[in-house]
Amino acid sequence: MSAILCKIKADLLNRRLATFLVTLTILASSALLTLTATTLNTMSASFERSFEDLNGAHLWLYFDRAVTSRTDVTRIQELPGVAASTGLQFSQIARAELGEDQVLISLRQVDAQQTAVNALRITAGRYLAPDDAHGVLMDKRLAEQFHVNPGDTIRISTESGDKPLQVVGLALNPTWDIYRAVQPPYLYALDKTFQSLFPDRLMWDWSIGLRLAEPNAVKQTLAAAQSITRSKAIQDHTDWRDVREAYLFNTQLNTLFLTAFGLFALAAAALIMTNSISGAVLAQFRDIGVLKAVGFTGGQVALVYLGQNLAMGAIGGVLGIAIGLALAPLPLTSLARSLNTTLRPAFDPVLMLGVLVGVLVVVVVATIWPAQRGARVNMIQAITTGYELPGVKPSRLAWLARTARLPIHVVIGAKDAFARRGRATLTLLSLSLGVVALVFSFELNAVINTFLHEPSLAGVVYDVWVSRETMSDDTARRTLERAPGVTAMIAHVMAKAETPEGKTFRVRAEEGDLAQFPFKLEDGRLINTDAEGEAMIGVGLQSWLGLNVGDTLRVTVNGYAKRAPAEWRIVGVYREPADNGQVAIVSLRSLRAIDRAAEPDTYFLRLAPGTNVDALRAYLKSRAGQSLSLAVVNTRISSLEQFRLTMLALSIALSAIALISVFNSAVLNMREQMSEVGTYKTLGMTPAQVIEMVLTSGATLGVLAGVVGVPLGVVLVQVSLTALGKSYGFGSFDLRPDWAALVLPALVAVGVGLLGSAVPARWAARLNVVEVLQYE
Amino acid sequence: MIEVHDVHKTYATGDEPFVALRGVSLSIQPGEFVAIMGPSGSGKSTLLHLLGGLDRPASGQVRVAGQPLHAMNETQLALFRRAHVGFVFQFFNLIANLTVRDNIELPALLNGRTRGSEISRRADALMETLSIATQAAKLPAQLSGGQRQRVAIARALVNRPDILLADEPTGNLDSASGVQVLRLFKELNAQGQTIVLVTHDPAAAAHAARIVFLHDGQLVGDETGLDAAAIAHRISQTASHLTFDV
Repeated sequence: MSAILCKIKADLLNRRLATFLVTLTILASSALLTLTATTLNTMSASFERSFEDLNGAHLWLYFDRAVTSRTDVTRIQELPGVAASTGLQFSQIARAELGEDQVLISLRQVDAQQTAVNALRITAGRYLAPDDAHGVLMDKRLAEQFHVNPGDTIRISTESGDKPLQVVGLALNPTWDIYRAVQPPYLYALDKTFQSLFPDRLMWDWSIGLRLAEPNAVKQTLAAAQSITRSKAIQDHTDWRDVREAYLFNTQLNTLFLTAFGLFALAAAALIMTNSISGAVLAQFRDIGVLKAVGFTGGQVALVYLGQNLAMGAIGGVLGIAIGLALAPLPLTSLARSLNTTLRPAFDPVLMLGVLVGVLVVVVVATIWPAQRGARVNMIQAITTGYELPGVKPSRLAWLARTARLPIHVVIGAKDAFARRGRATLTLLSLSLGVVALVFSFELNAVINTFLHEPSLAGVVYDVWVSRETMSDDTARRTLERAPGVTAMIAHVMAKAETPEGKTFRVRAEEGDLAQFPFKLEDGRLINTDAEGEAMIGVGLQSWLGLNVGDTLRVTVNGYAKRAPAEWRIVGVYREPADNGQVAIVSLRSLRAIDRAAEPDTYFLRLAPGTNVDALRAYLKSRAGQSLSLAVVNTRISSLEQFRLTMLALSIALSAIALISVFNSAVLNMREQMSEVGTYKTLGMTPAQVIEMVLTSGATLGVLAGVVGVPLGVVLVQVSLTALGKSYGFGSFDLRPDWAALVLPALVAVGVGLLGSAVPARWAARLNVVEVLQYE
Repeated sequence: MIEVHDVHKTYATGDEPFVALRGVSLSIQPGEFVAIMGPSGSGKSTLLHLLGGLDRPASGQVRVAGQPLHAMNETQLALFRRAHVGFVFQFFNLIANLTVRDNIELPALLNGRTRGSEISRRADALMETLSIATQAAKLPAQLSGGQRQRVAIARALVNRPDILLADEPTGNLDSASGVQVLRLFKELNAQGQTIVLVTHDPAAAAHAARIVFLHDGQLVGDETGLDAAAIAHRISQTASHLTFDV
């Protein structure tokens, strides 16, 4: 055993460059895997930490004042499983003027002392002081969207006119659902301010936040609360897990790609290891013969190589885990920042051990084949010739190059690219992985750019929307039809639908010519808004309910349970960006057949190109005062935008691994072909020609990697985007080949091939012919 | 044609430098067939490498075909070798995955100045002369040692070099093949080819008209018209004389 250890140690120290490269590759893969595993493991840590710090409410209930009493609320607070509560909270929906925009907000009354449950985190400015008669806190996200800072003055519409309020701080509410918000964004004011603005207590909305002993017992508690209150007393609720999901939405996508790239990196590392070990076996051909001659068995020879690689695997694996842990907060930083907390990724020894074992298993698998090859070395041949003959099959690539009348040293370079077929294939695979990653990254970037340029592809079909307050529907429509730049309009009101199975979703009831809006249909056609009984459903709703065009959607609408459920025939499936695509569109007539009182309160507009939105806003203000307010649809697809950097960074990491692979392969090739290079130089090959010859080998692999990797990358993009589109409700992606995205990775592959061969090429050019000939 | 003047060459080996050549001077005229003889470590291969522009002297001058090899850079030396020198080695140094024809045509293709048809014609003629025409499409591994060396000679001649340099060309051949190769050299020399042959075999050296003796990096003899026995005697004399001197 000591002889084996002695040989392992000697080999590792004598082949320092190879040892360094293999260890580096293992380290990179291990770091990526650790990063992925840690991110997956601690993805929700920021939110949970923030939630626990603020003692967040697990369940938030919104009551219908007309059928709820204070006694009901008290009984809910006393339900078993309810550990604590915020107490009854009062709020009122109002309109706020934030700069040029009119925004619907919910003003909530708070105490001068923060509540024990669901406290607010002040992210800028300060909390309300007892003497802040005209001060408010503003929801952090609302403030960010409208660029409001502490110290700014905003105006709130009340019965007695607009009232100015000063924003004293920005606040984060741990249970306000940023995605499926059932309440408009909050402003918070002290009781005396709240009462002075909205003195009519009958108009106040009631709600309560409950802290549960068992955080996952939300459904049970909700059911219990519903059972002790009158029907429909609880109008809506927020589940803390939904809020968490909303926060994690973007991070999940990043993690998905991190996982894919981590596995890519591990595969690339396995290829490099197999290559390096094969190279070591070839380079030590004579040594192996001598070892066997002095009594090593085949198994012991294999053990030498296994031991060497396990040592490198252990060192690279442990260092990689440490680096991965150090980098782990990066993917989650934006999430942590949005929650105004810091991230402490949990160190999970079992997880880290899993990564290390995984890496070592790959090392063992990658070592087995070349180690066995070493064990089977023919002792006589090894000792007498000292090397294993390379493949002598005629090279098709060389034939092609010759046919193309390329210079002879280029022809030789093309031939040498596959002189060691096994190694070249492994290097090619490794390089192809890098190309696949780059194609994936660039194509996705192109898709994101397309979406940003043409938001309708992601289902954003309106330019602006206008909400109506006191003005009648007819007047609002007439005003908007005459407004400058408006080319099409849809009148809209939202309804809530529930399937017989209890699945609830939103329904858009619309009137107007939908054909004027660039809806992206996945299947079927648009509904006829003049007709009744037709529905088109979002992609997310289609997947969720398992329905298709031609099926019937049976739902209860706006709680009209006693009437027969609505039956709408599905005529189309469209791309819906909101609520994971879990939305349906019906005609206003269809909704009115169930809810006669339904009346449009929002108008979606399509504007002529170049329309000045500020001029439109001014026009509406001059014609309708505060009765109409306009908002520009936010077409930023932030969840997709976040991919860019992550994808690019991971592509660069994989390209770097591919670079190591090419370098490693080129070094091994050069070591084995020293005699041939010496002969070429003897025959008059100049140093420049030697460099070009070696570079041709690298570039040939790069070109082939492009040929293999680009189509694979395109297929991978299509498959994964289709899966993502279905998962997140975007529908299918119109993937038009972006030639730059296809050509660039191929060029990068050639560049990596050239770069990886550059140093070995210089070594070859400087090779001392006399030394090579003497060695022979 | 070849002028070597006071050439010194030292190699760094281990802790102490190894002096391969100590002030060697030599002149070889066009059309000569010269054998360089000496025991292992005498500096004969080093001298051959200097004549072929594979290496540069530490000091002294080497001029071949009027060109100062001692003052040339790597690229100039490569171009010189391509145009003026053909090499034949003990281990053939053929490219394993090129066919016989490809191996032979390689230096001419590297040259880039000769038309493809002319290169093929030359290769055909050489293969015919060296009796390897039937092996043209084979790979070196499919040939015997003698055949491989004939391929190496054809490769060395394809650019019609001024000098043919051969380093122990029979060292890895059976005696019959060795004799064939040496006869071939003699025929080539008879046609005017300048040949410098490095060998430690008196029988091989006897094919050359002139024999240069090296010992410990010094030129210790330069004689003509010796047969194998005389050469062997001369070597033993030189060795004992030098040993006595020491």
